[in-house]
Amino acid sequence: MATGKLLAVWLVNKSGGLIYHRALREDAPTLDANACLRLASVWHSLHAISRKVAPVTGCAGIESLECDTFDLYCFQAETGMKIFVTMTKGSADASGTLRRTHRAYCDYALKNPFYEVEMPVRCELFDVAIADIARSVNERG
Amino acid sequence: MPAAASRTALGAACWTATEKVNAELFALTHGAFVRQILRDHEDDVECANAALERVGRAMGARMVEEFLSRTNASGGACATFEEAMEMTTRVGLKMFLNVDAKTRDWSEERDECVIEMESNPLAEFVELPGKYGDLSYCNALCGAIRGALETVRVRTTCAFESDPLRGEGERFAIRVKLLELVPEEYPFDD
Repeated sequence: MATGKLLAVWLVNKSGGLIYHRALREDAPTLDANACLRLASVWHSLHAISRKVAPVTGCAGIESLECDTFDLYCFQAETGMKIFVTMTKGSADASGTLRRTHRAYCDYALKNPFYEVEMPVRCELFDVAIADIARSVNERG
Repeated sequence: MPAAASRTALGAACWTATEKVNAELFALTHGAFVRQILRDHEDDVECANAALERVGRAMGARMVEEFLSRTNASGGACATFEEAMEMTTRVGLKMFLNVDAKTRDWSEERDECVIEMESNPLAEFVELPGKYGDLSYCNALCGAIRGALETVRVRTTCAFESDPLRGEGERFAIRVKLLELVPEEYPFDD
């Protein structure tokens, strides 16, 4: 089976606001800015609902969503910041990619003194780091 | 206590994996920074203490994300204040400052403790002159601890219990008191 390719990376702050979105392949759907904001906030709510309705305690929310045409993998840090990626079918998990994205966010957004926490990430170095991650994921296998 | 030992090991591992900066550069930068804050507040020591706390808090709020990403602590969030303090003390201080520390003097309700630091790289070369006798030179550290905990919904107060620079005790010790474990906010009403 072919390995999944990274389609897009999304970062959502703890209040459900989209702070970063980037499509990484040509076959990623083109969405306008409003659609992105809306989808991010829908995912934020779904994620929160999944924690509430979970029959077990200590549920961390939806980690992956498998669809016919793509897979979505999500990671939420204890700070409430969420990272999720959409991938083409065929990957078993994306924890490595999510972890690397989280690390890149710490390094190139949070450590940038001019980045304002909870606000949209507009840091070139972060863009570069995301592009690197996408390249390494999409060129393997 | 195996939990403590594994946390110490995790702290050491994180410290080893982190990129380092020269300790003197760090200590001297902090010194210059404190001097500038004093100057900005026209030698008003109380104001300077508050300003240091504020700056530390802003740093802590950002640093906690790195702490989480490096420790991969996403799976097991701290359930109690006690766990959170152990993680802060044994992992956090070690990974960012290479300080060995432990908690002591736990209150009976387990909502208050003292973090005792074996060393303090910030205060390496410092002697406080008389007119700055009340300066809490490392107050940014208290702020950082408070800011970091606050970001993961643990509201605390944080202050130096003993500060050798002010002639109190042999070691730096920080008293942390839990105010509230803030429940998570949901984007909808129940």
